[in-house]
Amino acid sequence: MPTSPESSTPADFEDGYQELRALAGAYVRRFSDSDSLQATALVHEVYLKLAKGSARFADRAHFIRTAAKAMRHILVDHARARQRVKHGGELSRITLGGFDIADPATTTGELDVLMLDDALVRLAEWDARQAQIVELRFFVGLTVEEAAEVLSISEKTVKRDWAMARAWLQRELGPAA
Amino acid sequence: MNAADWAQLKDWFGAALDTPEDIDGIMAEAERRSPELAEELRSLLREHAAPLLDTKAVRVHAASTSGPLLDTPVGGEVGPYRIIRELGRGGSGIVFLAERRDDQFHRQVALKVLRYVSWDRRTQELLTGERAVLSQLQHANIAALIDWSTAADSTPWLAMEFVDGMPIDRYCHTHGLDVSQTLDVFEQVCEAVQYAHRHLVVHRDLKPGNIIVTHAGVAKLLDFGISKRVEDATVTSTGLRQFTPAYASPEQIKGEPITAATDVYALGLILYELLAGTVPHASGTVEDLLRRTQDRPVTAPSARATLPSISRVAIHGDLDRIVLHALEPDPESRYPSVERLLADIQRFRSGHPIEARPPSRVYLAQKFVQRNVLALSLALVATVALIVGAGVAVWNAREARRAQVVAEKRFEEVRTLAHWVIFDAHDAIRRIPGTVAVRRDLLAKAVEYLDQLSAEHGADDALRKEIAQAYIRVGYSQGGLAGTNLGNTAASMKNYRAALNILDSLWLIHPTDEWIGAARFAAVYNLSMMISNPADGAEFARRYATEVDAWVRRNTASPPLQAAELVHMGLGRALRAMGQFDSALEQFDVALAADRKALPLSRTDNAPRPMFGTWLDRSQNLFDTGLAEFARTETLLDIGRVDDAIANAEKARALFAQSKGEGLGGPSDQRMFARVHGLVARALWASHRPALIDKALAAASIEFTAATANVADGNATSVRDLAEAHQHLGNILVARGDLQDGIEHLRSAIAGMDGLVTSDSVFLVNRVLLAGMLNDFGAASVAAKQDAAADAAYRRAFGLMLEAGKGAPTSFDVKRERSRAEGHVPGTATKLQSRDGLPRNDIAATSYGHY
Repeated sequence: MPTSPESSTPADFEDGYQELRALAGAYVRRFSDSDSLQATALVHEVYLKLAKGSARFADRAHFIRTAAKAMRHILVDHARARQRVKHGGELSRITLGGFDIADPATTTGELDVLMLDDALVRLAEWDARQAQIVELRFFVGLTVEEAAEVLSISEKTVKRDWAMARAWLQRELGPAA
Repeated sequence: MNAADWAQLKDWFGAALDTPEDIDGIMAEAERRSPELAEELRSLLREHAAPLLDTKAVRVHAASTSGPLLDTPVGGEVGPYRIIRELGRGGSGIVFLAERRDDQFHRQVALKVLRYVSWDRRTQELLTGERAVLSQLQHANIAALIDWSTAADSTPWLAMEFVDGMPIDRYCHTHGLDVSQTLDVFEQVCEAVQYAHRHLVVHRDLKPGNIIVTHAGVAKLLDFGISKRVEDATVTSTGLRQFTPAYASPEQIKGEPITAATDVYALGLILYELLAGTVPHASGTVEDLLRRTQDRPVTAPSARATLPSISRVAIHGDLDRIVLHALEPDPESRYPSVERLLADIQRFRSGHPIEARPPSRVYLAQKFVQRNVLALSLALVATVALIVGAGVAVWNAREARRAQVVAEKRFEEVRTLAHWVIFDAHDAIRRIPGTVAVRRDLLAKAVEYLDQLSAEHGADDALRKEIAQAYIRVGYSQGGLAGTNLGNTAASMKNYRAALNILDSLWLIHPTDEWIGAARFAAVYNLSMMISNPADGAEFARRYATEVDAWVRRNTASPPLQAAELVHMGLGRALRAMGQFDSALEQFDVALAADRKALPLSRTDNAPRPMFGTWLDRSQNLFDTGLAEFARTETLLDIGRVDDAIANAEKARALFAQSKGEGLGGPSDQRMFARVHGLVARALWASHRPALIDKALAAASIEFTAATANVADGNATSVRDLAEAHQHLGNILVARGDLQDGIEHLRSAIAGMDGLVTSDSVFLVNRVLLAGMLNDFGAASVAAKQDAAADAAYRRAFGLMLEAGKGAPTSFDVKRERSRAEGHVPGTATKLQSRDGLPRNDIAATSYGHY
């Protein structure tokens, strides 16, 4: 029986989450020199490994929600580490390919993960669901349909939430006014 | 801002998305409730409608007021040109009419220079990009690039063909062109864009102002300023997001990947405007752009047509549908190419039914990573790891189309990898026993990547060659008579046909390419072997035999000779299967002659060589000659020339032994080394001479021992070989009077073939062999007075051949095995005998091998 995230115990969540983070973190380090990092590919790989591992997830939706959180944290950590490494030098960015929300200031289609993280923290205060949708779309590469399934809400709602959150993020992450 | 404010904004925002036409009302309501929130809402909607449009506009504006102006007054000089007058200004530059100073003909050009000195590197890159693009494009309907350089102050300029005329919309309207004349002009535009697309250039800023029609009615495409060579690796596409709002496609507005479909959209808009006299969208306002990104139907051009020269009736219906199809908001729902748009217009003009709504573009499979590659053998783990990597890479390439730099790099990586899998990895394990299944998986994967690449990027000939070769290798590993394979004839034929399709078209373009010729005729040979109905197989092979003979007349190198050998062998086998034995022997003789001519061209070093299009090893040539003699022997047995057959079988045996001595010894070669002993045994046995039966038994025992060793490989052909070895032994033992042992071997033969026929019901040869074994078993059982067993075997043989005859009415083998059985099946004999006129009793049971 699929269960909602609320019904899985915190210990279970923590258990799976730590393992997920470790796996994805290793992946990020391995690919840190490549041009881009495919969030979705990463999650698939992690999932394949986890399927053989010991982590417990109530269901696929639970896994994906957890994965989105883990990915966000890994990428943020990674970006911070890079920032430290290149302190004073050129700021290295992590690409989240495949989305519209390019930062016009950089014109390279890259998105600053740290800025995104900050913005998501603010957005979550007003609308936790919109923040979660962004997390799923960006960090796990879910489509609108998939996000709707994972959150058990209608596609229409996801589409609308996504459109608004994206518009807002775009403005917030755009060139400084 | 707090959560309640946000919730309120969310309501309005959602309402605006649902009903863009009410946007004014929603804004008014918001203004009334809270001017601050209204401002916020407006800002969010603007972001939503045009992700980068606004910032871009602001930047262009800023640029136009702060850059130092380039000093280019009339009469001034730029490079070797003198400025005559200004023709126009755009975001990135000024276009002047100019003439060459040092040219006595005063040839006039359109001279484009940067509007501002090089402070804006992006603009400079744009111009450099245009130069690179234009220099590649030479087409009657594209303004030619004449010259380019940089001025003294390092401002780049370029000189283009000066087109004297007027923009296409004004031209059509002022000349009062009717529908047909308008389409004449429009088709020229389509052809130019189509040509550009073939050179991987997407214009991205097609609009009437960029299409000038000369007084002679020739349309010329101008301004490739923001077009981009799709594979250009130096500029990312986001860096080039400039367009004209009124003609921008939904994907441009949304900042999504730009493809050929973007130009299709713009062409649709232009045609709309030419026919209706107005654009379907109001303008480039935020609200209009927002509407365009929604899936809102566009009003048909006929409903808005106001031009006196354009008949509403003429455009109503098909032309409406063509225009609206080009204007689908979703790029994947539009015409997939300008070619198709053009074809539909031409269909409309010639009164043919139009394509109208084509099936949506096939979505590319994307979940490579999850595919089960772990089932492959452990020996290939390293390879598999690479393939998984390739999956990610292909997939990245698809996702990151906007980042073409990455995509192009990945493309090469994947292509290299697929190449490696097909050529090196496959060939490395081809000769290792027991790797058939692994080879199939590897190759299937490689084909998948190549297909993907070809669908993604459009295939050049080199890539198409690789794809064809991959198909052949997959087909080879799946089925057929030769080689070691998995016994899946239907799948194998499908892959060979796919290869042949590609190779047929490549051969038309490259009729002297030895690789293409060799691969093509090899595919023909393998296909002809698998076609069930021999008459169909013969017809198929004969068509290509004519072609291959012509090739041999043009070129007497090794590849055409090898190809001729194969095709004539294929034709000979098909003729033999039809019962045209004399014609078959003629074909085998042609093949043998080709083998003999190729022998001096062969090499003796057994060095690694490509699969097609090069020399042949001497050992391979001897092997092929042995195969031809093998087929000859079988045909001689068919027509009862037993003594000739015995001599010929010995010839074949000697050739294979020689080939083995020269170093041949892969799994499929080992098969023939075993089988040729069976051939000798059969010829000796067919003589019915008691003096020869012990020699026959000895030969059959060699075959049996070797076949037993080979079958460990676990592929379909080895299983068949062992079954045949059982059959040969069984028949010889029966002939020696050793009934019980003989029957046991025949039973094993039947059991082996049963499995093959069950798993691969398409392959006729297997079914004929099984029927032959059943008939032999029936005869042995009669001799042993086991009538019930005999009856059951004959009945089965008869039923099998009755069924097989439906798919292969011209097969002599089927008729023969059926007629052998039918005399023993009550109630069938007379009826059938009168129908096909074949003798009813056992004829010499010589129909074993059909190699």
